[in-house]
Amino acid sequence: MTTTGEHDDDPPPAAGVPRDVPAEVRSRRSMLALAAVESGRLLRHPAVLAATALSVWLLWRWGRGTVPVLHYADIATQFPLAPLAAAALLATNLAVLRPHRDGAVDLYGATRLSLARRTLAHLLSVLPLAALGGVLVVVDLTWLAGVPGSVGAPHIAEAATGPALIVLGGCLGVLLGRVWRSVAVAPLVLVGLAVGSLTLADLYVGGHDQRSWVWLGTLLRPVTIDPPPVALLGRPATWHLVYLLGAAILLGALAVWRSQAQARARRRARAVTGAVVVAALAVATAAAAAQTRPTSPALAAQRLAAASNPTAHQVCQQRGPAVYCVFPGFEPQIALWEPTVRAVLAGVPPAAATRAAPVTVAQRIGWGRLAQDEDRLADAQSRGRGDNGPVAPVGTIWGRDGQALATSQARLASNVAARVIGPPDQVLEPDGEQPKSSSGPAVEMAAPGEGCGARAVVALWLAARASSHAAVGLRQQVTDGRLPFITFTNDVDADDVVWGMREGQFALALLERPSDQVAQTVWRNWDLLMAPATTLERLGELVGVQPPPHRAPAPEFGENLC
Amino acid sequence: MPWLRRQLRLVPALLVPTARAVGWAAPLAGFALSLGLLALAVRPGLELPAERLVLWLRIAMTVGALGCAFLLDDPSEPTTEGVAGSLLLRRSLRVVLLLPATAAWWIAVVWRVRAVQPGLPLPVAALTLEAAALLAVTLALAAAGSRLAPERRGGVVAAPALLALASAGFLLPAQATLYAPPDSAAWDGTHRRWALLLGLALAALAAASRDPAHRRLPSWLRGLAPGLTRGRAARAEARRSGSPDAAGRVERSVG
Repeated sequence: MTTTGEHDDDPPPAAGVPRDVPAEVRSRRSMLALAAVESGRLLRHPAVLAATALSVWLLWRWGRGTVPVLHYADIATQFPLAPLAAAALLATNLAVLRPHRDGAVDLYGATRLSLARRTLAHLLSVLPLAALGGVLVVVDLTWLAGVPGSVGAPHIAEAATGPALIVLGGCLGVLLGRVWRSVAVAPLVLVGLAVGSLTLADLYVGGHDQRSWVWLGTLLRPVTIDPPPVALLGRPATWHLVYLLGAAILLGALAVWRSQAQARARRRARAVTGAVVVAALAVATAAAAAQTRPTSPALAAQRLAAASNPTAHQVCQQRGPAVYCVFPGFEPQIALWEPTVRAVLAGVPPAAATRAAPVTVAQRIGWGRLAQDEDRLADAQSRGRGDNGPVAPVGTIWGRDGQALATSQARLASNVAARVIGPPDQVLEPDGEQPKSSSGPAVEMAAPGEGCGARAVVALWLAARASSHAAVGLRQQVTDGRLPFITFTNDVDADDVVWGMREGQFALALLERPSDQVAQTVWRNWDLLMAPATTLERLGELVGVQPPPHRAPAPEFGENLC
Repeated sequence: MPWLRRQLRLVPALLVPTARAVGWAAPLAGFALSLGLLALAVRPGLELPAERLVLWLRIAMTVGALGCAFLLDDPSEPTTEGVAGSLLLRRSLRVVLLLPATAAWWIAVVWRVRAVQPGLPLPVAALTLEAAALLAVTLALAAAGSRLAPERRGGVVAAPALLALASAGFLLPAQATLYAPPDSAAWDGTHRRWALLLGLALAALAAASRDPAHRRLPSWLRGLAPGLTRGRAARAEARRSGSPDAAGRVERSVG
């Protein structure tokens, strides 16, 4: 095997180089020149080109689905940049090993650069690629900020995590190349890291307080599907960025230190590198300790207060027939919901609409995922809701395209329709009796019968009629759903109505009929249809549509909801 | 098929030198890493749904295949072009030599999943087809990549390409998916695609392993250099008549 022909950084100056330029400066210039060449090659590497295309596509795909909440959109830029980080690892590793593959190790002995300087040049060559990642993030967030209804502001540390990951990948690639000369090591290490991150991300499902040590991984998704207000987010983003950068500098310094050891560099240079290694290790360890601290009691109390009585933490605006309650900063989303709410209310007999007005539409998120103790949360929620009536919940995330739009419209429309028809024990009886007061804790999810019977079919029909997207959302749930009931969200709130599957099928059948004809029949028989006792069969007789047959649910789901 | 018979006659002589020349570390490290990750992900006491379990099996497959991307790396290829054993034979021998380890790895993967989740019906045959197709695709990529990479180290091309293809496979739309969940309606269609992929990959591997030294020259070039073709014919005649130390020469150049 060839040996590395090494020398000091100050060989005699080459012909044409002025003698008065110090050797150190000449060496640094050469290193920067090599870094520029290597960064150009890195940016043109097929793996990097493919990863850039994949990253751009992932950013675009994730950005177009929902109306952006920028303090969540910045987190969503991290995973799409992971292919670039992987490409950086592979490409820098191949670049470091290029002389070994091409049998050019001896030729480097004729240049003025030491092995350590060449390693440093390879490390510096990663920076333009990280800058490319940064540009992608900035362009993505600028695009998202311009979308109508966009809310929030990005966190600089969350936005910088993706580019930091690219730097980490590149530094790891260089280190692996300096430790092992085999090109097989980097891909194997890469899949180990990728799968390890996937496992850690899976473990994070329980939330920060369940296993805060999973932040020692690289990428973590947000815990809730619907973004909470920024004050309740509680992600140690800055410490995580410091942790990643500290780890990257540690790996880079180890690569340089290894090169110096291989080339038997001067002791002073090795001492400087050793100091950098120690400092980077200290920073990474401190950041690791800081980011894995459990959630502060103040934040936990804040979350509990917001979960137990969200209304107190929201701002409400009356617009037309509805009151909209949103977390501060989310006001631009109201304009997106209004057409759906108005369309649902327009389908109801005026008397019923007046009786139900004002319908309160309020943002809700899956608090259970953020809570430390779910029992405490449930207690607090049941206490906090005592004096507030049921609202029509809507997520803090609103669809913009495709399935997300269909699902969020269907959720809002069906919940508004549910509030219009009222809980089953509050509606007027067909004979005109006064409504009975609601009894029992209202937090019971899906109060028995609320999503059942002819009134539920009417509500779902009203919802699906409100917009074509809501109809698509209902159709998806009915045709794709494996469960014997229908919900339009994964984080079901106490006020979300859970609908019977048979009711959903019947509502779809009604949608097939001429809309005016069905509307006339429904309006004419409104009071009868709103009675909890009215069955689907009776509704079928009125509208002339055969109700769907009863179907036994799969044994693992227990009995039918209705 | 006298050509095939001549090639097969070389197998015993080539076995040991090929076994010495193969870089075993990468494929075996790939198998070991794959098993290690699977052992971490599929643990007793961790209830995983069938879909998740199959996902982990597929990740394990990809990691195992990744190590095999370096199986065909052979820096001596330019110098062994002229030997009697064709490139396809030498590469096939490498694959055959790794087969026992591959089979042991796959059995261990399936055994681990079966042992941890005994109640779950695992579609072993279909998953084995996926693993075989993925390995064949990897080897085809390595064979094709050896023409691009310096020193015929095709793994440099094949490993990133495999990672890119596997990622792309997970992102394919539902109509063309390769990774269907076990109870989905698309399962059978998906495995027809895997079988097709296996066939195509084997054909591509054979095509990429045609011996560059035995390529036919274009007719206009043959017309320009009649002496050269006569020389080739003469060498072919000499081979037909049998050269006693051909196997020995092969052994030396491979080893």
